[in-house]
Amino acid sequence: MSDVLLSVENLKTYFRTSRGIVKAVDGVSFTVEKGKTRALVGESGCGKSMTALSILQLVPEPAGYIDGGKIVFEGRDLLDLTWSDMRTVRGKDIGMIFQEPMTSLNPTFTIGSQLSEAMTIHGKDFGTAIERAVELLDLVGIKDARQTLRQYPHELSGGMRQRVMIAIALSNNPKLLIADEPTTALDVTVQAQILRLLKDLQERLGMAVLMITHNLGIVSEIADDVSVMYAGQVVEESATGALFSMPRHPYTQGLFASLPARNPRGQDLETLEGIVPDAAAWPSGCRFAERCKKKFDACSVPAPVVEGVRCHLMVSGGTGGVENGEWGVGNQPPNSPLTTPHSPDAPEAIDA
Amino acid sequence: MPEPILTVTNLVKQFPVRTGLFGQKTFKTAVDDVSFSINAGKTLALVGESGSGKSTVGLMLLGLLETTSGSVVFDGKPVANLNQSDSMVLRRKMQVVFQDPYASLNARFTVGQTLTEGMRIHGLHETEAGRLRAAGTLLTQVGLPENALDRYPHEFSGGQRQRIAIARALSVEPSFIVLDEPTSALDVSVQSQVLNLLRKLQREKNLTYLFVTHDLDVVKYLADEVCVMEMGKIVEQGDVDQIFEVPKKEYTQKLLSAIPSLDPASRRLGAF
Amino acid sequence: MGNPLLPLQLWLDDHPVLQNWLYNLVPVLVIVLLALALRQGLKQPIWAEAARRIRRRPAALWAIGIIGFYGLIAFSDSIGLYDAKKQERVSLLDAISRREKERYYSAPLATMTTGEAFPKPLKEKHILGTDGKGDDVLYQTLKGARTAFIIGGLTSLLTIPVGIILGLLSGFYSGTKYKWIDDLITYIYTVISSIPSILLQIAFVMVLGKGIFQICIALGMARWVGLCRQVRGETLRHREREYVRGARALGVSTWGILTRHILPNLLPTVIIFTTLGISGLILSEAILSYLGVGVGDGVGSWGNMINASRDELAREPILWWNLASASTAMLGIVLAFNLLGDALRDAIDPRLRS
Repeated sequence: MSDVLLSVENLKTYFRTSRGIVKAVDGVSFTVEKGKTRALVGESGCGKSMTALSILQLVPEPAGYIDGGKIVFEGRDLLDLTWSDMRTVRGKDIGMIFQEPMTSLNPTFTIGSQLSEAMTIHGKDFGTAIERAVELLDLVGIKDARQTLRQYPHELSGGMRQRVMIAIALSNNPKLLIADEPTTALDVTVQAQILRLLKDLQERLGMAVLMITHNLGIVSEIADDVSVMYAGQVVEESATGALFSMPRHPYTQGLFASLPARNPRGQDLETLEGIVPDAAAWPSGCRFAERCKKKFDACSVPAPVVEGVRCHLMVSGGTGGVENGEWGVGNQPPNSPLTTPHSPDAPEAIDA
Repeated sequence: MPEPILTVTNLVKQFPVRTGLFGQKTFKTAVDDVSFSINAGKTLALVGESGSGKSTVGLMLLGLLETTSGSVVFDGKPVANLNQSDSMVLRRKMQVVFQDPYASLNARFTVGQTLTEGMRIHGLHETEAGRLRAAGTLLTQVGLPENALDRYPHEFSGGQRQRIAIARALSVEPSFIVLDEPTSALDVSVQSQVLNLLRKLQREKNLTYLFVTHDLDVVKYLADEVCVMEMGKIVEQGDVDQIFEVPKKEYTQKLLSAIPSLDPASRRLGAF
Repeated sequence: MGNPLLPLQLWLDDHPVLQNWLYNLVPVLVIVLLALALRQGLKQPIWAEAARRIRRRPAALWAIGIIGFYGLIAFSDSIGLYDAKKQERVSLLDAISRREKERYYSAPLATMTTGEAFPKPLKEKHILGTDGKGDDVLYQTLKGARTAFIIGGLTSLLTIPVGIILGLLSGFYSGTKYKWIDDLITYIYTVISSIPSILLQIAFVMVLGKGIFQICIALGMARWVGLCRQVRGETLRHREREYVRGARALGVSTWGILTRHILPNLLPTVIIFTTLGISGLILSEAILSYLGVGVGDGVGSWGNMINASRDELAREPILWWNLASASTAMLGIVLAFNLLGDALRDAIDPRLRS
């Protein structure tokens, strides 16, 4: 597969805390293809943001550290790079935007100086940088670009600030844009504008996007592929269309069923009872078992990954829509999870 | 024709803003001539984006913010110009649940203290033991174990805290509750639990809800009537089906079309 | 205007035995109250958690140990018996460490006087030597501990209620119908903080006269401003939090909101401010005493020692040991309170926690 831009393999990001080692990201694997959008979706505490930060090696130190795995970007493992090579990758090859556009911008500098800084760091002279800054603001749909360059972050609305953040992230023509909940702090109408902008930019610039979100609506709108995360692991990965028409993992199924938009008025919502287990002590078996309505005996041991789904039901031919492998990547028989290409980490014994 | 339990007429809120070198006073109008009414046992959703004034309306109804002008009539009595004892009764009848489950509970109170405080102020239940018993019952009603009474908020997850906040609102036996984005800070799977709880409590206690939110999916599922607010004004109000099926105003249409579709085959935002 | 407690003191002076036991009662009461407060506080999980965090920091444990050591010295100087023969109160510290006055100064551990043409043997052994007047340096240094604790403790006791009450009112009413309360308080503390605090303190000592109690009032006049400002800020922050709004919706009175809801949430701020402030107070006392407007002669204080050593530094050989002793003693306690304050801040400051 030559069109794979980023491939994360069995990534483990741990934290040392007073309660012991917290395995925030525990064996996560996925790929982002050139020009495509991959969504990492999950609830708070599932490890999706830490996965994103791990790619750029921005995990909060010294508590956090990458314990193992590979992050292969254009054939190079980012974890092997020197500190200064990594700096070049950040901002130049990979851009990142965050949830809170107010705190991501320095309130004491103008938009212009922050935009041009991103470029002068990576070797452009100031004059070219300013010209490019105007171009970029035009690109992200800010009408009066030259005026905006002279303004301070607090003079802009939330949506405008997020556009500026996107412009900064795009300033060096990155091949990959990591967007960590970019619209969560915004109103729905502004969210729609930003999502439309991202989609538009992606088509014009041909960049790949890794979208981190908890909002299934956003996934549905812009993602090509999805990885659903739960308790530090990817529990299901598939093409967006397939996931929304027929989710296979019980967690994903429960998540969809509990959406108010998918429930009729006047009836109780489907719920996922219980809460996410404690990250300092993941269950030794399947991590979702405790809340799972389809729990059975096998769930007391870690679940294997079959056709992109981390669930015992996939092996024993349960009810999860397993029989037809039409969305699966390969067509392995269900009882040979070891050979599934998308799951190099599949049947690993999870240390308790 | 059922009597409305709450009627709001021409409600206005202006905030003074000082501008210029000498602090000339100007006013910023946050809520501009808002009128609506809610029937007992129903849910009215106040929908809008940030800065639309929807939360300000909620705070004014509760008497937590002074009104600039306009009238609020609750249960046949005007909310302003009440003598002390009347206003205590009103306070009891109108309660609130806020968005942030981490800021809405006093970290230094046990759950028991949080739940019995209001009862004590309003003289509900004879003894402290009786109040604690009532608090225990409330906890079971909101789906928490009774032994939570002796614990502190930080021992609970966001969803559980929101249940405690709901129990606190219920502790003084209100008939009307302002729900100010009660599920916005919660995960999807927890949101559905809390929404179910709110529906159950409404059925059991015949509660009236004012649901302040920006989440239109939740509104469509939960509300009976909807008021759409934009920049302090109500731009459209009506029955929930009417608003969602045949929105009349351009702003409402814009809001509705901005909700991400849950069907990747019919994307709304990707179409240029 | 003299010492406001003067009539009581005069009466007590006529009943020295009773006076002695009253004086003994005070430090015991202080310790008992502190212990009770600590025990009660540790029952709350928030404080128990803070204690756990502090226990994990060796620097904080050292600081507590050092403060405890100084506290022990101060305590032993605070309890004693009335010696009817000499007609004076003799503290435990006096009984243990008082040395006879020598005729002349002597170096640490010396057996003969120093600097005289014909050195004379000393009457007693002086570990840290004697000063220009022949007084034992170690004894004077130890005597300073009690003064330091009284200055730190009493001043804090005076400033905390003022700072909290004014700060709470100011923060709570800021921007409301009663904003004149906030305006007034803010005006007062802005005026006070615009006067250099050392001048303000000197002015107060001039009016009140020298003495420990007077110094505490003088220091307190300048200190409450900082606390008030911090409490005001915190109150403003908490006032807008949803738990306060929720309590108001329940019908909790303004008094209840202030005392039951906001006040307990201000405790971390107050405790950190006080702990870090004590070292500043001890230093201020030394500065005032050095300037000659301090606790007054006859009261053992490091400031007085430093002041006395000023002239002696000009001698040949230089009398460095009493200056060094006082400075080191002061450094130890100031450092300890600073370390403890920082550890407390890390452990309990709500702003540092997510």
